[in-house]
Amino acid sequence: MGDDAVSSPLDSPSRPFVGPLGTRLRATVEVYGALFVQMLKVRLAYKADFFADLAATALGGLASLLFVFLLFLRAPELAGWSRDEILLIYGMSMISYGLFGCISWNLYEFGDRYIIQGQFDRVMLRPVGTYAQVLFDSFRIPALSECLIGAGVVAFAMQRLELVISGTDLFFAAVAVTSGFVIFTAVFSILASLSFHFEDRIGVSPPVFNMISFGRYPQTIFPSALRFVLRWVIPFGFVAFYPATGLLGRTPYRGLAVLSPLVAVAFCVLAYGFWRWGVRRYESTGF
Amino acid sequence: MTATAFAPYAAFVRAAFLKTLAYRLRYYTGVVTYLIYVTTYYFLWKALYAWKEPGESMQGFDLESMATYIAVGWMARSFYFNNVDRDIADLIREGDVAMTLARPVSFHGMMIADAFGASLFRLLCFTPPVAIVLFLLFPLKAPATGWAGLAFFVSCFLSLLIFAHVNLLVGMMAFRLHSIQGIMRAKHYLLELLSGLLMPVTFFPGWLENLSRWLPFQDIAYLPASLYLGRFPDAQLWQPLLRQSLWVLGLGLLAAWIWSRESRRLTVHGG
Repeated sequence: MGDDAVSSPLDSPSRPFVGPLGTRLRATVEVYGALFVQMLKVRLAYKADFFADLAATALGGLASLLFVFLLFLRAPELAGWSRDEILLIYGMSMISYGLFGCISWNLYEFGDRYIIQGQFDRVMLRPVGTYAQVLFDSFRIPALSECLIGAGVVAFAMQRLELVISGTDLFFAAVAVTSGFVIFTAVFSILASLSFHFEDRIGVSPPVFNMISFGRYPQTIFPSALRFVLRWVIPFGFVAFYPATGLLGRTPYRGLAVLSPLVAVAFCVLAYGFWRWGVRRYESTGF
Repeated sequence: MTATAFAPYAAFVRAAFLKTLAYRLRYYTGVVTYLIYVTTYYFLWKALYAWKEPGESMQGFDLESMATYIAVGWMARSFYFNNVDRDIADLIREGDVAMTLARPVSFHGMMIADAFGASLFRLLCFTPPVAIVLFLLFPLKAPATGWAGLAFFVSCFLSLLIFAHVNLLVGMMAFRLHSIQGIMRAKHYLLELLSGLLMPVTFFPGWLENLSRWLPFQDIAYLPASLYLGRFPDAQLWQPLLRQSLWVLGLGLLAAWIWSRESRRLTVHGG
C-alpha cells in the first residue's frame, strides 16, 4: 500500500501550466491541494491505525516531557534555571518540532525514499517545483499532537512563572516558534540536498537529528565550543532557547533573542542554494 | 533440542552479521550519534549537580558515578539495540512476511537470531569505538571490581534478549494494526525512560520505582550499569542475572503464546 496505488489527479491536470503568472500560480496551488487530499485519503484508509498512531505519538511526547519533570523532582534548579523556565524552552521547541515532524519529515528520509529508491524521477517529471513536491508528498498528522502538548507546556510554564504576556510577546512567541520550524526544515533540507551528491540511505541526518535535544535546554550548560556550533553552524539554539530568554527577560541574550527569524531566513537562502545545486546533479539510480 | 535443530538459527545469526557488515558505513555516523546523546546528558546532569558540593550524591549517585552510569548505559545500548519491531512492520507492509512464514523455521527464533547476529557485529565493530571515544572525552570510572565487570558483560547479553523480545512483541502488533509507526515511537520514548537509560530508577517518584520492579524494562539499562558501578556485592551478583534470565524466559513464553494466536489472523497484502 503506497501512494502510487491511488490514481493521481495529476494524470490529467485541469488547468494548464502555461500562460500568465496568475493562472500558473492557481494551477500550482491546485496541484498541491490535490497532493494533500490524496495523502489524507491514503492515511485515513485505516482509521483505527490512524487514531492508534495519534494516541501513541502523543504518549511518546508526554514520556519525553516526563523526563524533565523527573529531573526536578530531586534538584531545585539546573545551573540557575528553574523547572518552569526549562519547560518554557522545552515547550516552544516541541511546537516547532511538531510542525517539522508533520510537514517536513520527508526531508529526513529523503536520501532513502527519493534517491536510493529512485522516486525523484517521478518528482522531476511533474511540471511543478521539485522542493515543494517533496515537502507536500506526505504529512504526518499525528506529529501535530506534539504541537498541542508543547502549547500546553508553554501555557503551563507561563502561568507558573507569572509572566505578564502582552500582545507583542505573543506575536514574538509565534514568530519564534515559526522560525524554529523553519530552521529545522532548512537544516534538514541542506542535509537532504547532500544526498544528491553522496548516495546513502540515511547519511548524516541521524546525528544532526539527535542534536535537536541540545536546543531544548539552556545553552549556558554547554561548553563554549558547543554553544558556538549551536548558534552559527547548526543553529538549534535559536529554535527555542534564545527566543525564550527574550520572553523570560533574561538580559545576557537580549540581542540574540530577536535574531531567530533572521537566522531562519539566512538558512533558507542557504538551503535553497544547496537544493538547486543538488537537483542539477541528479542522475537517477535507474530503478 | 539437538545441535542440528539450532543449525538454521546459527545461519540466521551469520546472515545478520554479514548484512550489518554491508551497511557498516552508517556505524561511523552512529559513533557521532552516540557521542551526541552522551554529551547532551552529561552536561545536563553536570548542571543538575551544580547546587551540590563536589562529591555529594543524589539518590545514591555522585556526579562521577552518574556520568559513568549514563555513558556505560549508552555503551551497552550500542550493543543490545535492534530494530526487530521495525523489521516485522516492514515485512508485513511489503508482504514479504509470506515468504518468511513459508520457511520451515520458527519466526520467533528467526527474529531473535537476527537481532543476535546484528549485535555480535556491533560488539566487534561499533561498541569499541563508542567506548573509546567516551572514555577519552569524559571522566569515567572503571568497573567496580573484576567480577562486577564480568557480570556487566553477561548482563548486556541478557539485556539484548529482553530488548529483542520487547521489540518482537511490539512488532507483532503490526499483525492487527497496519501502521505501528506511532506505537514504535511511543515505545522508544517510554523505553528510554523506564529502562533507566536516561536516569537511574532511583530518581523516579516512589510509585514509578515500585512499578518498575514488576516490569522487565529496568533490567535493560539500569541493571547492567548498576552491576558495572558495583551496586551489588560480588557474592550476590548471580541474583540480578537470574532475575534477568527469568524475564527472558517469561517474555519468550509470552511471545510464543501471542504468536500462536496471532499468526493465524495475519492478512498478507500481495507484496
